[in-house]
Amino acid sequence: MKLFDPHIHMTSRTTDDYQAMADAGVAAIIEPAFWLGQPRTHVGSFEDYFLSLVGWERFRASQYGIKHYCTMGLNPKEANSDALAEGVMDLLPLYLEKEGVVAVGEIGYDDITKREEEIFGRQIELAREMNLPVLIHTPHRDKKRGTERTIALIRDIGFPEEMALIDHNNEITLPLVLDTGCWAGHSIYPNSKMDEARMVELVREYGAERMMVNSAADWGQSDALKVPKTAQAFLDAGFGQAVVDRICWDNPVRFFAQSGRMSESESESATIDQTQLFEGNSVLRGQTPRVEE
Amino acid sequence: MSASQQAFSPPQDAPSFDQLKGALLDANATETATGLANCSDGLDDATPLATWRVRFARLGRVAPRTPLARTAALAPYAGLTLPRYCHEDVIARMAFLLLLDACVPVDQGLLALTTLYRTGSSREQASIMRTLPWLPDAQRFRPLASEAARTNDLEVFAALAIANPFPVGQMDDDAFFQLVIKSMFLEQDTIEILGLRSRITPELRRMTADYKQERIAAARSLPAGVGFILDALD
Repeated sequence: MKLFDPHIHMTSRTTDDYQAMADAGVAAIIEPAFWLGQPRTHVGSFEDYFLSLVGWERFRASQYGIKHYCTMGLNPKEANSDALAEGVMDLLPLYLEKEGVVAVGEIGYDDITKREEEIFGRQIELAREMNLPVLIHTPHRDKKRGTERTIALIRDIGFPEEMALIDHNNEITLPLVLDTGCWAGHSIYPNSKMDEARMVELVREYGAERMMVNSAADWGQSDALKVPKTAQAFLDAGFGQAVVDRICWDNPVRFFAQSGRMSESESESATIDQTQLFEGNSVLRGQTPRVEE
Repeated sequence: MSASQQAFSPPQDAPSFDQLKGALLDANATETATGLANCSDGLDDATPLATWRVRFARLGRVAPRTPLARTAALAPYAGLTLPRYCHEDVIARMAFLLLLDACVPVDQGLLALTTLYRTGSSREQASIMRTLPWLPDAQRFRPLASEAARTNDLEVFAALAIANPFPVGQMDDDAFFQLVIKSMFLEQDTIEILGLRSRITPELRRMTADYKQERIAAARSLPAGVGFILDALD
């Protein structure tokens, strides 16, 4: 079973997770640019993070046979930082051109402030200029209104709905998103957001069209194997392999391939060569390098 | 009666540096009072901010996180005797921050406290939040409170939100409502948000009802704040 996790923050995960993900069939991932668990205090912190997403993290994933793509953007929470926001917006045109960057994201609302909306709108405009899709975070609080305003903003700007992935949906927001041409992401968590059983019911009710699932695994208590576990839950519910392939591979590939920077063949497993180094650094610590022919 | 159910009255008098130091002595926190005096020694309106920041950090090493043994001296000031925050380190830091704000020019107060906040520990950040409502012209610090409200650090968030006169007195509806919803989201004592009852509007009810709907869809329990807001009479 070949699987795609279209939203996972690998910078906060260990190589144990990469190995477990590879063993469970995860062949490609999208790592969205986000915040670090506490506010950054300098624009340079963002730049170094962006560099790591297209550099070390991409390399680290490849060492386990996983294709790593990322999105670049100013996240909703830190969009409120008057001291930093403009500096980060100035970085984006450069970092969105980097290899492996397939969308603008994750952007959206957090507290639904005016400043967040301004930065959100400007990044949607930027995506349109660069012909890139957008990966949108819906707020954890006042989520329904945040989703409604997200859809309204996309329409006000005239951004193509089929190039917008609205993420972190639940039972309340999913019908709103599916009523548009946007794609719908769902983050499967151990104790919050969505879980496997509820996801099964959503697919039972709404089908597989434009649906995706992700682990959104990050620094907190989250599970980098939620996509394989959800795929298994789909099979256990009797949906069949075609549904799993659609939601857990075809849909993410089809969506992000709209960037023109990913194709079906590219997103198949990377060949592992652990003799490779990144800027002189290896992921190994004395282990025998694994090399696939 | 819960703090939020009482009719809210803004605090009339702010404590002073000497009153807070006196409260420490009254509670037999002699070493902390001495540490506060030492960390504040020689600081005045000519002291560079960098020095204030170093002394603030040093204060954390001499003021332990110990509950105050006696709190009678703090009783006139709403929220200061809350067991969660009535600790030697918080009271000592509050005294220090009152002194800092009194020494810097009024238009530099926000910069000064924001500087200490951004490189502060959770406990230091929480102490700053507990101090905000007692500073003259407290509305100057709305941007700092907005920044703190975005934290996911429970200690800092609760210091701002719970039994603190600042949100009800200084935050506009958008910011206050987000604070209330977030308090439920973070499983804090929403009902202990000072003045909550006086700020309930149809919009806050709408946000709460939407949140209730999400919790029910996810088969999760409802925080006490949901009922308090939705059942409140007009």
